[in-house]
Amino acid sequence: MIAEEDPDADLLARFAAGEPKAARDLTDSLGPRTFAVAFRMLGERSEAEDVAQEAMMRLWRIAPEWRTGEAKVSTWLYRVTTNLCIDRQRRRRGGMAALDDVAEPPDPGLSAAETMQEEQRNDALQSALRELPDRQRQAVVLRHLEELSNPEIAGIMEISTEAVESLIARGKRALASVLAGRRDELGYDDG
Amino acid sequence: MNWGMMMAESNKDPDMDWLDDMFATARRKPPEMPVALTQRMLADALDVQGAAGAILPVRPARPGLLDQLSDLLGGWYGLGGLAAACAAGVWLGFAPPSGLPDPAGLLIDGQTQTSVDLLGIQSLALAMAEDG
Repeated sequence: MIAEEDPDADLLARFAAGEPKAARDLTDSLGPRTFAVAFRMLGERSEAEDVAQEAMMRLWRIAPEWRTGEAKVSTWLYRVTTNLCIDRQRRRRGGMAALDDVAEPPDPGLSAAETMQEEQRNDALQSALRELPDRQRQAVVLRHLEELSNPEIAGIMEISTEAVESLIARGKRALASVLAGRRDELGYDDG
Repeated sequence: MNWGMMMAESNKDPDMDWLDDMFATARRKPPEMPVALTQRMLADALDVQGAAGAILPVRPARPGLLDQLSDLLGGWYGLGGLAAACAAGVWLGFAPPSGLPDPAGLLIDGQTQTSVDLLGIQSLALAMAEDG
């Protein structure tokens, strides 16, 4: 198999060689994705920040030992981030999780009503995701929110592509079931 | 959208259209990365680089031999004084003031005089001996 080019691996090598600009470039390139997936998995901003920072810290530490060609840096980072999220959720399960509703700036291309509805849908989806079992949520987030391919997700979750497809299908059915009662409220015809 | 997503779109379940629309809505507005988090990540990165010794401390370049000699002799002022003293010494060697023997002449003429009677004592002793 021909090793896929991974610009992040080059950056990581430059980071390990002591180039401060590589640290900045990696933070700019991988930081937002790490935070986004952590937030999608956890649904809570400050916890997502902690996880994203911890995942990136692990990346900085592993940099000198990174072996280019074995795995993509982003794949490794998605795996570390989602596993950290699952560990954290298992620890907190049973407790009340505080929702951190930080107001997002409105999208100027949408009317106030549309913006409000989009926010309502996003909040509803985020809440429903939290109802899913860990592995289903991980697969659905990576597939439908991070837009990764099934083989890539299989690499991250260290399972077969068929198992990924099964997790995604079950996850979507579960989401639909959780959200079914809110379809009218969210602006979808219950037809 | 990648190839896998396009395949998924073409095979999607029509009953799930509304759910796919919710995903699309969420993708349009990804969680915004807090600036403070970016700064913390970057600070961690630089700490790890520093701890690993990857970043060498910035030190001034080691001065060259001439610079070290110049510093030892007191900088350009010291070197100037030394050069002037050397030039004066060379000049005195070739053109000594009257009353001093000419060392250059001694060398050039092949004379083997090894001592100089600066006070004329030898001449005085010789004259006294002649006077008896």
